Amino acid sequence: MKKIFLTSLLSILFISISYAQDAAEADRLVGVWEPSHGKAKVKIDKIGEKYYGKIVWLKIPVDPETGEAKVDKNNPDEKLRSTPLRGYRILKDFVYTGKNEWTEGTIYDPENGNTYSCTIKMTDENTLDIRGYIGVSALGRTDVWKRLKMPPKKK
Amino acid sequence: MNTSNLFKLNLFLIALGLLLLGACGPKIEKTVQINTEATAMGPFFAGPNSFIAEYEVDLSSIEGLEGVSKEQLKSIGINSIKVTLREADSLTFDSFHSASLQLVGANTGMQSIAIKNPISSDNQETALDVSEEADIVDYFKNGKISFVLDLDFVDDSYADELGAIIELDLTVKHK
Repeated sequence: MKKIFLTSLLSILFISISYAQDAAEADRLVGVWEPSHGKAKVKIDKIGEKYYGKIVWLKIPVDPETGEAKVDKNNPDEKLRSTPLRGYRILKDFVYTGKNEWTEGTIYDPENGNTYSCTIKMTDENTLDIRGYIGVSALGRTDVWKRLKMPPKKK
Repeated sequence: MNTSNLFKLNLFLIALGLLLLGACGPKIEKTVQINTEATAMGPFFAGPNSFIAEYEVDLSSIEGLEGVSKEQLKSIGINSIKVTLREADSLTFDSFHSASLQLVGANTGMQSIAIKNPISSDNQETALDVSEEADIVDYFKNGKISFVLDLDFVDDSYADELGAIIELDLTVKHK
């Protein structure tokens, strides 16, 4: 009886540690990232069990045509076209599937209003390969994003 | 045509009839209201900050949907959405540039359903412009919904916690 209890306890402990390690590994995606074009910065957060990335900085925040802050003017849903681009979630619903990959998500391109299937691969702690595609992954394009490093705190 | 084939044909026609009856059966349309409170922990920096509400779907507790099961739901459209800031927080909507609302479900991706930009209200409540195309029935079938309300702060706020009540007026179609 004592042996069974000890085995159960060890199993629970092992599962808990594995789960915590997986969660920590998955959470490495959280942070602020810069796409290769340098026109925006995207902050990736966790909501529930999934990961989402929103635009937190724009190189040109004002629309030269309107003189106002940029909005999602290409949104397929006309009613949502006044959504500000700063704060817009362009990465949605990513799930960590192990081996440094987050899948099942989508990426939105505000320049044309299209949403693509997307996978994220972390090639090192500060680099992401973001692959957007239609249908199959082979038909897509990969962009390299770099983690934004915070300046060291002044003493 | 022999008796066996005639029997099979009859069986096929009955099955087809039942299928058509199920697909074209009468649908009931109701207007219902739900509300939930979204909260966020401070400090808040100028720019968009997310308020989150976890809403457990219990159709029996929604007035007008008592006795309706999740399987009977056919579509849910949005008529209007009102957001009211928590009275105790002493904030008004002129503290924010804009507000947007998204839904997330356990097995359903994030969907934007409403926006207000710019916010013209200077009191504690505002109505959002809702998506007329959105059908949010899948979120209700999945059992648990996260409401993600993004409020774009004009200035930093050092409040420990802020909250907002989200009220939705919905048109539900069910069998």
